Amino acid sequence: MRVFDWLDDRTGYRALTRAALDQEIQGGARWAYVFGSGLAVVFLSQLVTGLMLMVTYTPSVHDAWSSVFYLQHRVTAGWFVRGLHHYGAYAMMLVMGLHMLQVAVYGAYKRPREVNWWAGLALMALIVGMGLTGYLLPWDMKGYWATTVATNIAGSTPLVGPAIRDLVVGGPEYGQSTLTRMFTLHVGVLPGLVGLVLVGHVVLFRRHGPTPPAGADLAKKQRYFPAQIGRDLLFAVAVLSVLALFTVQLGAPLDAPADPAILYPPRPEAYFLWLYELLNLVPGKLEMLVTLGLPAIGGGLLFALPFFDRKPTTRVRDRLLFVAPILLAAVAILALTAVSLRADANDPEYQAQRRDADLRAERSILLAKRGIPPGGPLAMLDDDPLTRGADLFASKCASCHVLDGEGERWAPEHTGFGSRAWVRAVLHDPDDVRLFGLTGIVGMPSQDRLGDDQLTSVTEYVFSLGHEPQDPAFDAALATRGQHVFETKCMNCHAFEGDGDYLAEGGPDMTGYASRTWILRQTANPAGHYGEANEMPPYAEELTEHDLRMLAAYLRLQRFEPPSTGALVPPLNRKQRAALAEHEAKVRAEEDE
Amino acid sequence: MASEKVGEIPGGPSTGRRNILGIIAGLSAAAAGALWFVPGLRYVADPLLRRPSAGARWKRVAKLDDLPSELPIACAVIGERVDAWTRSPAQRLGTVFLRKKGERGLVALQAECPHLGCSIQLDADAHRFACPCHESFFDLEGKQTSGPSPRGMDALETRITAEGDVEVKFERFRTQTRDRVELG
Repeated sequence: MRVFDWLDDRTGYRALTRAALDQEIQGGARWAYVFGSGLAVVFLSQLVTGLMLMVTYTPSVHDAWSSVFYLQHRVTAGWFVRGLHHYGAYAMMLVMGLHMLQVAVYGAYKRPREVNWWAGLALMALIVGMGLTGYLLPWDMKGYWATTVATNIAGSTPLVGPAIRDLVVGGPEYGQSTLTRMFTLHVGVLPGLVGLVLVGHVVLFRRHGPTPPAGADLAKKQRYFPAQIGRDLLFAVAVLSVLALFTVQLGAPLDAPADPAILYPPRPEAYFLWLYELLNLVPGKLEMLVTLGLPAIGGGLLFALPFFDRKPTTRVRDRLLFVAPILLAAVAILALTAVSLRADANDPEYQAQRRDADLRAERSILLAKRGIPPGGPLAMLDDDPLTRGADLFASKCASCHVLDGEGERWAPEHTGFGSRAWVRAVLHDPDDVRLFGLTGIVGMPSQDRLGDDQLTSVTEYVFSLGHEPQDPAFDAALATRGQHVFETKCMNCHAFEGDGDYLAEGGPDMTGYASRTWILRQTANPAGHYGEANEMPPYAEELTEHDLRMLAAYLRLQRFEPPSTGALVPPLNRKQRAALAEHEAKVRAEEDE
Repeated sequence: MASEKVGEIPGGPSTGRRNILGIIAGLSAAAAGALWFVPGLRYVADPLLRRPSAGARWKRVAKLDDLPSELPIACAVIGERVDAWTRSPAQRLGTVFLRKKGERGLVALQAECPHLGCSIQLDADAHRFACPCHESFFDLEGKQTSGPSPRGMDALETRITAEGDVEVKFERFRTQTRDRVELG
């Protein structure tokens, strides 16, 4: 073809490709040689998918999480591109480990390949750096905390540590500078350096060729194409297929947006779990030995390996002293990872915290799907009763009230508060320890003497007091009968819309009982409801109007809990929580219109 | 083409088994490449694949009684804007020129120039609209009088509510076309 002749004349590309494809392999092609090129292919995939992610990703603490959410849930095939990049990072670590083991076992670091061995070690450090800088970028809980720990470890280095930490973090506090700096390292500095060293690595590899195992038939020679290239490609395709499989089956996770004020169980990415576990195993004083000493000593030993193992033989049996520790280290890393995963799986406290984190993440994504407000994802969560209300309950109320099985019991149970079951339980025995039994609020006798009919109707009536237009309907006829009972039997002690003996006997005003307004009044100034018998502190000063409203809206949701069977107020399961979330979403959507 | 040198090596590329390996590897690499390429292309082409959002929306822009007669005024169109992941309430979506014609007649014109999207301005003294970018001129009805614009100003539907509010069916159109084409 004349066009190609013209191109070859101007570029000499034929000689180049021929030189690449016709390289001789002493001892013939081998499956053992596939890891290096496999790693290069995964790196290429990381480059391409990484560039694609940059079309959507925004490195701002205000927008990073939102842009990743958008990428994952809104942009066509975004979940696929992000999944490949996410699991590609795991594949880099894994294939890198295999590549190093192969090179070490085959003795390919020996003369004359020492410099290439060092280039490989440098690439390893750079790639670990890419992993470390990458997972902060979504600015979610996981990345935030993992990075906090990692940068503080770097900060513990003698002498230069604090300076290094502040350089990477961009100041004493984590924030926008941290994200921008990590982003620059991740998409510019580190991949650039990897590219440079990789070119050197490949050039040196082509100069020396692979190292055949001891006893290989050196007279046997094959060209790179097609025998080796075929094996390389098949391996690369297998790795990429596994990535695609993981992406389709599991997808890349996204935790809730980073909020340092929220309790979270930090864990590093899976490929650093072994270091994390090791850190748990050694006593505190030796901590630096693991976090800094081990990588430094390990790296130093690997660097010096070609000097220790100088004999020309590559037979493994003659080099056990050098090969065995490396294999042992690999086994130890795998074992420690497994130990760490098992420990977490068997740790109920970790599991509970993880569940909370997952619920928060799920909720964040559900809210984000309705559009993130200009204030960003944290403002979005702050305006969500189910999230903000739950946070406030945990920090302000759980020291006295139990909700969903969590909290201390000094005051009435809040699970199912305001529901029919809850009202009925109060009518049956207000002095139950799960209700007012432990409080100073006394004097209301059991109303069981009213009989089942009247109890049911008055329960429906009290339940209806907190009704809002968008709620599921209550039984109006039943409630009207209940109102009659209430007016004749209850208003001796309970005030209602200005009538009744308000506070004379210590019974709370029942106007709008368990409605948002009632709960808000109760939280802001409980003595207004329960008079001198009240022991609950007022929160009017401590909480903002906004937070009081969030808390009231959150606690009001308890009324929708399905009537209990047997147990006073069973904790909500996941499905019920989801149903509540759904309901609340609908309410909010209507409010917005 | 690279055959002379290859021939020297025993078991070179001419043997069948090796060619088959090469073919299998090449095919699977091509398949993997497609697996990457197709979603990647779809990802980057996302703006072309997106279904158009709601499009035209009725927006309150003025009170009928506040309009001067026969002279257009510029009214801001305020509404919710969804920009990628951010949903912002009460954003300025655009400008319409509103002119009362007779007792209840109304003319509403999109201020975006059909030429290249600049903001058309009212030249009140000369009783005409002028685009400051490339000197397209329009009369008060929006009809083009001179300049490079491919069509006159885009008229928008209007309606008057029972409360005397003027509402405009706010839409945006593609630039550079002779006929109006709605933007998704």
